[in-house]
Amino acid sequence: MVCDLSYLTEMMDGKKHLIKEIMDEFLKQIPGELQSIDEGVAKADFGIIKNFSHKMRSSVSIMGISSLVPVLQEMEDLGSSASEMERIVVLNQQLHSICGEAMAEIEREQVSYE
Amino acid sequence: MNKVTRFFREMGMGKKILFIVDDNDLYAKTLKEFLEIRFPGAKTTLFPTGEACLTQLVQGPDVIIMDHLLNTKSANAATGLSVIKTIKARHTAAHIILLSAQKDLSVFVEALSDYGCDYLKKDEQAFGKLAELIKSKGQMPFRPDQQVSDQYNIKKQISGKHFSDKHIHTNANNQ
Repeated sequence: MVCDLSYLTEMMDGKKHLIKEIMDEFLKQIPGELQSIDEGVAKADFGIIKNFSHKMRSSVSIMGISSLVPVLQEMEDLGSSASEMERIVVLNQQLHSICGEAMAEIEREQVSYE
Repeated sequence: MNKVTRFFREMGMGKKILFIVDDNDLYAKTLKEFLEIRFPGAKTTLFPTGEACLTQLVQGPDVIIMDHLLNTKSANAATGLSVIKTIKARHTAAHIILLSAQKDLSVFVEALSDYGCDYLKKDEQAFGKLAELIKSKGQMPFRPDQQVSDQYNIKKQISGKHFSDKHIHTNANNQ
């Protein structure tokens, strides 16, 4: 499991309909954020990489995806220093892989929140 | 309070008004739901940019929760700090809390020292700390089962500047 929903569950007082809404929002938002980072990588635009890595740190914290925090932090730092694009590419692959797992998990979990 | 603001307050039937300014919809909506659970008497409004928030200041918000980097939806969107500067210039009475994952200390040093805001780091304890902070300011009726804890240590010194305890709220583990 890459997601830990205990934080979200606690914050939403265990209200299933609210947790489901947040899950829906996560599934809607993450693909766009990944796409923006991909575009930043394709254009070698460090500013985009920095901004969206920063934004995604907040997004993944909601779902308790702690394994992504250091990945996104490093991407943000490299974006900020406009350096090591090769390393950013590797980190972006990890980001896609873990986000893919997270989204699959959340899609499966959603059923129990309906 | 001017006439327009008074009108908005009366329309809200005395409800406390909270503004959340954040370009991350997921984070902002989660925070909104959380605050409405903790503060049932509050009316919470979301803004994706500081500019959008400024147009609604006339509502007389009690609390404004402001992110710093707001440019992922609108590339030219002002930073939270510059919006705070504008809000302060309008002599708004709102309690402003800068809620950001910023690593740049100068951002919150300026928010604290020049504009008297509170600062909270966006981490996995941020929501709880935010609710406690709002409660401690006496701005919202709090749900009775939510207790203020003293688990959060407070930094007194940042980058050589000293601040009072009341403004800085960070996770001890991040110090």
